[in-house]
Amino acid sequence: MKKRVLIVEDEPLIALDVETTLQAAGSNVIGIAGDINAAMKLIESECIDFVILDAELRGRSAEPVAKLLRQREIPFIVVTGYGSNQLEWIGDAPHIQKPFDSQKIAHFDFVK
Amino acid sequence: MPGKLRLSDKNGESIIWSASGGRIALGSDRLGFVILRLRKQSPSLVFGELNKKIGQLNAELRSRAELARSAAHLAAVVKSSADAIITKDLDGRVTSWNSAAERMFGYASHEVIGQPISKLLPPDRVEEEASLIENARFGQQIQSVDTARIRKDGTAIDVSVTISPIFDSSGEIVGVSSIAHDITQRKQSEEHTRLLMREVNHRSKNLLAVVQSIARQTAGDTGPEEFTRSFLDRLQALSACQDLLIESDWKAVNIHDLVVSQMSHLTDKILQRVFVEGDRFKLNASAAQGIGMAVHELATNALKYGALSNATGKVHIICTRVKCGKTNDIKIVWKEQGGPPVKQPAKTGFGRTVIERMVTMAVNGLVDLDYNIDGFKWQLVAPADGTVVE
Repeated sequence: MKKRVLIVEDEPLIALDVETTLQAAGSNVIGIAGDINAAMKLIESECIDFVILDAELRGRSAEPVAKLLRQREIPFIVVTGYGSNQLEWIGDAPHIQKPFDSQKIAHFDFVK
Repeated sequence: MPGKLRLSDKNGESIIWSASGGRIALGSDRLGFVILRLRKQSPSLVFGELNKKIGQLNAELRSRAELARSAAHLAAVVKSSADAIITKDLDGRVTSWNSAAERMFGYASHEVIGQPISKLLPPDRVEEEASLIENARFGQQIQSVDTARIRKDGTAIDVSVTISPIFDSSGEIVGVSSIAHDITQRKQSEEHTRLLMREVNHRSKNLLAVVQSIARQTAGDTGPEEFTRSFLDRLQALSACQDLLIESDWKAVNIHDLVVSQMSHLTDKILQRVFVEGDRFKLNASAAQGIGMAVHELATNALKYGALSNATGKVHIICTRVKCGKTNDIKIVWKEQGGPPVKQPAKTGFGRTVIERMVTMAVNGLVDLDYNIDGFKWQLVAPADGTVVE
């Protein structure tokens, strides 16, 4: 059964690129959210196996999204242009620095 | 101020002396008279000893007056200093507190004189201060240490302090002076620079990720020969958009300027057949990047297959602010005419993804594609809120 994945990314080109990679890896991209509100709505309404989460969405920290994902025990990968040590809320969540090889995403256990 | 002075010698003989001298300040409210010169009026004994004493007294009074002037001058300097100048005894109790200290920390001098300096120290700076004072007790001067203090109202202030020992006339260390310079502005400037560098790093990495996506998508779309040209054209278009954003401090880009900037891969002759019309509204950064890339792809397609692929076709780009009732949208129409007969493309490549899905996501809008045989038409409608900078 295909994994259901949500992409939370405010840069459309990057989101579409990740979508292509995940689809090629056999995932089902159920949506792309470009801001915090859209992401929260989809997380609350959809059945999601994992999330690709941009650390900053339209100038706002994606921390509230991460908090909701932790509450719902949905695994997520943080994608960020900041150093991981600059964002405490990432905690022990897996993260990838931009620019990144989107193939890397497909290598995480919960993506397979 | 000349005068006469009558003195008697040891034999009781009276001698008249003429004396000259003047008033001299001994402090703010004391005056003395100094005899500067004595001239004997009648031949008699030489009062050498007296003259010598008078000379010594004269010199001492001059020295005291000089010291008084110097002290007054120093007091004026301390009083008018923009830096807080505080002196403490060796137990850390304040012994003097200038006007700048009052302004900087909010305590009047009578509130702190005799009090321990520790009331100004944040809890995490107590040890640091003790260490600095200990060093001063051993005669060491500590220059420009960046630290923090607490004002009377409880707020913190960043200061740079220089701490020096105070010696008495016998060379003993009797206290410590502390000069505190308010470095709030410098700290704010450093913080601003740090945030700016962090943001630059974030944006440049984001941009690199965008470039990476363009490269990957372009590579998936074309053969190796066409890849370089298509990729470079797309990078130039992206770069032109960045230039416009930088010119406006990353705030707003005029739609007409944006459209023109995205067609640098067209020759001037071809550009004469491109007409940008309508309202000149301003787009925010993310809308400018998304719409800019879409316009670039539309121009590339027109050049390859559409109205700009022959010698007579034209393109009209009409930009409109639609304000009607509750509606507050932008509408951008790309309309081709006079080109070869239009055919629906057989495959969906990166260009199509950009003009349809990517731009829709960038501005939360709707795209309509019309492959009418007389001319291709692309239309984007998006809410002005979140797209336009008023």
